[in-house]
Amino acid sequence: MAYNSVSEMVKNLVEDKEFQAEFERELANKKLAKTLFAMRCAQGITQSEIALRMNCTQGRISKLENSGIDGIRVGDLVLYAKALNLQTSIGFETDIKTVDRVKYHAFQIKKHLDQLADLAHQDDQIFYGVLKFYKEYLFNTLELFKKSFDKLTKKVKMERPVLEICTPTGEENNLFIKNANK
Amino acid sequence: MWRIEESSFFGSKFKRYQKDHRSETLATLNNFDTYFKALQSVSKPVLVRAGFIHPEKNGVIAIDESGMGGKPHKTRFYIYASEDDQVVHLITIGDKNSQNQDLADCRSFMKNLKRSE
Repeated sequence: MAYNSVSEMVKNLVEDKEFQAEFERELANKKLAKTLFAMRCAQGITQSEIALRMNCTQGRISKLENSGIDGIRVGDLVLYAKALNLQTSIGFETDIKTVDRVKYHAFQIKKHLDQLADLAHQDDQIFYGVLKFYKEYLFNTLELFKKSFDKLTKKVKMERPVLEICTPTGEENNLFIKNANK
Repeated sequence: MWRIEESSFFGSKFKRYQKDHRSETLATLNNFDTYFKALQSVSKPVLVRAGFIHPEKNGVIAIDESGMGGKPHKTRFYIYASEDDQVVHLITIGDKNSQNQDLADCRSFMKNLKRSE
């Protein structure tokens, strides 16, 4: 039997529903600590090394990496991230709809692209670098959008005619939409 | 993406152990989850290091129950992370009393695994 996660494995191997629920609660409670641990491992740094950078004991790091959500202070997070040369961002969200989230991220992307555009005018080399990035970004974004669009339309079986006529007025696009709505 | 596979004898042993030592199994599974999640972000399994991870022979590692309070029953969860196919093999679970037999099972499992490769 193969599993993609430990949760999946527990659900399959343990019949006791209360045990399963307790395990899920424990995972949720330690989610942040597990993320810290994974970030440190990804950089190949030991607990002692990060303790040295944070000016604390190895025991404190061990405790932090095994803490529940109540045991981790924001200050600890900032210091831990800084020791790994990472920046800490904290986000607050209302219970927004997925479409609003997509719009939010689109505006955020626009904001960051504008920052890059401003930066580009400082120097020719930066300008060409940013221009190259813009082209790559456009290509990659269209690829992602296409994959998502394919996922959306995969259940709609399009009947392709033997003879396809393309009109310059874009009527084939209207036809596509009509077929997709059927 | 790493995935988990169990040995032919793992399931029955795990179910028995989970019934006899509920809290220790919970704590050990939690540590295993931490290990497994970290594995997804490293280039080599050897980079995942923590107090609850104990290297054994032939690349097998034992994960213990540390992190839980009280006086726990010493538990060892034996696994092998195969880098080539990104599979974590669950070999067996046991305590101090079954340690010799568990390690023998690990040796035998690894011998069969290497033979099948």
